[in-house]
Amino acid sequence: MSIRELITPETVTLDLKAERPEEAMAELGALLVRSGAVSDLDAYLEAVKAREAQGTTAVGFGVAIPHGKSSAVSRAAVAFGRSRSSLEWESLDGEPVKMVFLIAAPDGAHDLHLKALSQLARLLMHEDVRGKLLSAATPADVVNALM
Amino acid sequence: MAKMLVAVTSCPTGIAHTYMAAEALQKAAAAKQVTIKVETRGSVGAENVLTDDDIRQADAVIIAADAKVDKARFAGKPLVEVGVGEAIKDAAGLIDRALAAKAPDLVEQVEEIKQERKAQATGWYKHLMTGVSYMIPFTVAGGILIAISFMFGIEAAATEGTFAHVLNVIGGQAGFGFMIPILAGFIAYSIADRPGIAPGMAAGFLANSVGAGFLGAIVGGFLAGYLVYYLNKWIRLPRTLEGIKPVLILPLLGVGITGLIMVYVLNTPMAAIMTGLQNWLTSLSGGSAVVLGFILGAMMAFDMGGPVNKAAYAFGTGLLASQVYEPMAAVMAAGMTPPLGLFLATLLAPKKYTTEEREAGKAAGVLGISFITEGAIPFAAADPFRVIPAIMAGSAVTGALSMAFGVKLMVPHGGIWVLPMGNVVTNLAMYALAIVVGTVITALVVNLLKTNKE
Repeated sequence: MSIRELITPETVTLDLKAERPEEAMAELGALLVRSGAVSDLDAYLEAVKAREAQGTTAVGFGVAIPHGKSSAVSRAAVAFGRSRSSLEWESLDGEPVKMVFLIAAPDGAHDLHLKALSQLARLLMHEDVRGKLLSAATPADVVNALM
Repeated sequence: MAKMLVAVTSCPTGIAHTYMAAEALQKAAAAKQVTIKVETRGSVGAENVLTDDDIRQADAVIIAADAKVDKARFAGKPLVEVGVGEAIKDAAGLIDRALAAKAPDLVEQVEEIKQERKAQATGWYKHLMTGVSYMIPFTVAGGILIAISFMFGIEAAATEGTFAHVLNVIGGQAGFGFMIPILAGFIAYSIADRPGIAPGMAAGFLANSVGAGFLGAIVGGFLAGYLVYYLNKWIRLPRTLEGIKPVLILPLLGVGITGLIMVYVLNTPMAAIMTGLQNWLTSLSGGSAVVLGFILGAMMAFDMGGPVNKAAYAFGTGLLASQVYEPMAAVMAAGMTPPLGLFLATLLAPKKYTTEEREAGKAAGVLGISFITEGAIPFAAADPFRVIPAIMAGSAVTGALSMAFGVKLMVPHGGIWVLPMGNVVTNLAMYALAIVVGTVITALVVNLLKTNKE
């Protein structure tokens, strides 16, 4: 299981319309539904919001990684959205959020999925990766930046 | 030599922050040329788990977690603890703080461990310990005042109107007399909050009146607590009458029902059990007394202030209310030897201990003479399989000797500080001998098991 199996160009948008966290979750969640990774959007978003309520997932450097584990998720997947402006999202370092990774993990997810998610989380801590994501011109560029 | 750090990261869902924090720490450490090993406790489970060797070699520990992380294995290490977000935001600063952190001194650590244990205690154990902790002041004051009254001559207190008699009344009735009701009352308080106090104390009073002692009080306290807890939950009154529930309904039903159950059902069997226990304990001599002391002693050392230790302690303390004083003596002596023995061990074989442990040894000595068994925990946490058997051996022997010498102790706490007061303890010389022997055995056994530090 690699990160490539978690994120595909069809779950990437470089024109995220959302202005607030809940809107971003819904907008990216819809991509995950379309790709077949999430079966019940409302149930899944409930898990995401519950996690967000425990503490912001806007981890700084302009990145937010809302995530949820739910039985409404049929397979682990990630959606990515980049905003042309920025979102009103209370972040750890006070920087505005420009990029959102919405992570979906199935209940009792197989270790391999979770491992791939953990690798993705680690990647985001590297400036060069974030630079590539910010300058990506196509969804395929985004996926490649994470390889 | 390059500095070495260990860290643990953890977050609520364990999907992202745990790993981002780990990566941030590793990156920042590499930039500073500091070696770091990060254990991630995420949804995959614990990965890259820190070994005892890792922890021993580390200069400091970082815990970046929003979920509970057990700190016992890091006892004695310089430690910085922050939320997981802090590590993601400022890993470099966190590493600087960890490198500058100082090892906590033993007294601080012990205090922290005690607080943590208190917070973790749940269920019946928590309720019992709440009751015992409220009972202790009455026991201490009562025991010492009675002991002082004996200083006027062992028969002096028998004559009404004398000062000795007054002290004896204060200690015996106002002090010891409240032990059992307070124990029961605050067990119930722990279960049912304020409405539990009155029925609990009533149950304790009734148990006391028939000689059901601390066993009756424990049963009565739990009965009163759960009864009132459920009455409070089930009884629903119109809003206008809700105000009379805490001042009329709950006290009346709580005290009434608890009292009736105590008098008609529980008192007789509990008093019989208590009398049986008392008779058995007072008739104990020779071999069986030694066995009891041995077991109580080993229990005191086994978890150093944990539930097993507290069970033995509550047993010794509760019996004071029934004028049985020998187990209390054994329990306190055996609770003093673990830290004392480790103190002696660090003096006898300094090469087997790290510099921090030798420093901690001195503090352990002070905690030991004050009967704070928890002083042994940092040593036990660092090396449980060598330390715990050693302290159990020493404590068991001390407990056995104390029982064999028939030492009586009238106060439940205080270590050596209460011993000089006349009549608080009988047979002081033999009591001191029992403590010294256990201390020496602890030190010799632990040093026999430990190897030299290189």
